[in-house]
Amino acid sequence: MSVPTTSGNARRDDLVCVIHAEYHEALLFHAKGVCKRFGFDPSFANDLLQEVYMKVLLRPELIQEGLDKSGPSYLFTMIKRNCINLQRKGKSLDRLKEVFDHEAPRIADINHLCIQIHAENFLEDLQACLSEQDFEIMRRYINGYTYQEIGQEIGMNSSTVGVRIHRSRKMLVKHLA
Amino acid sequence: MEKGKVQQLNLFEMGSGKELLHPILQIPMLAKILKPFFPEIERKPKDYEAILNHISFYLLEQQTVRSKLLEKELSEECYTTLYGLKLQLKKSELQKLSFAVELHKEKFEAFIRNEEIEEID
Repeated sequence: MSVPTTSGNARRDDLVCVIHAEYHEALLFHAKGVCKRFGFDPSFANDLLQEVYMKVLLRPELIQEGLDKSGPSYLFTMIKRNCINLQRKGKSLDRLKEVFDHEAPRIADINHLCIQIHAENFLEDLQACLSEQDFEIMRRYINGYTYQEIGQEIGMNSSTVGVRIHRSRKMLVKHLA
Repeated sequence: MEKGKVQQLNLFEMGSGKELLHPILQIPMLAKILKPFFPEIERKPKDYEAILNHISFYLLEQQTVRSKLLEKELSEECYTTLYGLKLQLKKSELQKLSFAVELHKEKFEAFIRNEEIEEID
């Protein structure tokens, strides 16, 4: 990664200032609207907005390119994608618990601290007892993807994806019990 | 003759000033929010009059937070933004909200400056 030059920093700062001056209000209310639509508390809008600014600070060239290509619409799409990722992360944790209920740590207070390490070990276990394709499906499922999204990525009908997940879960219950 | 000239000047000023702007665009926060979606809104206000009337009714008069009409007429991004604004307008008055947004903007400015400084360090 190249170190940004002073003029690069100046360009980056200009870009952040323009976005802040011209689009901040619209981005804020867009984030609030998106949060409501995705079922999040409106206070998440600040996090979504913060992520946009961080991306602008860290990857100004990419953002400039996006703005040149699509205009301010690029920024609104970024907010929506950030929200989808947030939702996916939430789903991922829920699904991990759902699939991996037998071995998940029981103490609620430390659950969130050790779930990541557990998840990694669990994925290794999954790989050992599922076929390659079923593992790919389950890995995506645990990561919060929808049946349709998994189907699109693997090239499979979404209902078939659902059946494969159901069978894998049944098999895993026996295997991990 | 002189009276006529004065009248003409007045007419000219009325025709070229902010009077031509739609009332909703005279509220700075709303003008700022709408501009990214309608970049030519200040140059060709007549073209946007109908849609601005609908937006104005939705934001300032309508009781419900959803508008099927605007959902059809506007882009998804624009409608979601106005929907977010409408949700906030249900909770507080326009003036209070404008003030809160100004504060929010200042906070983010401080955040951006802080991040820039941290990166330089």
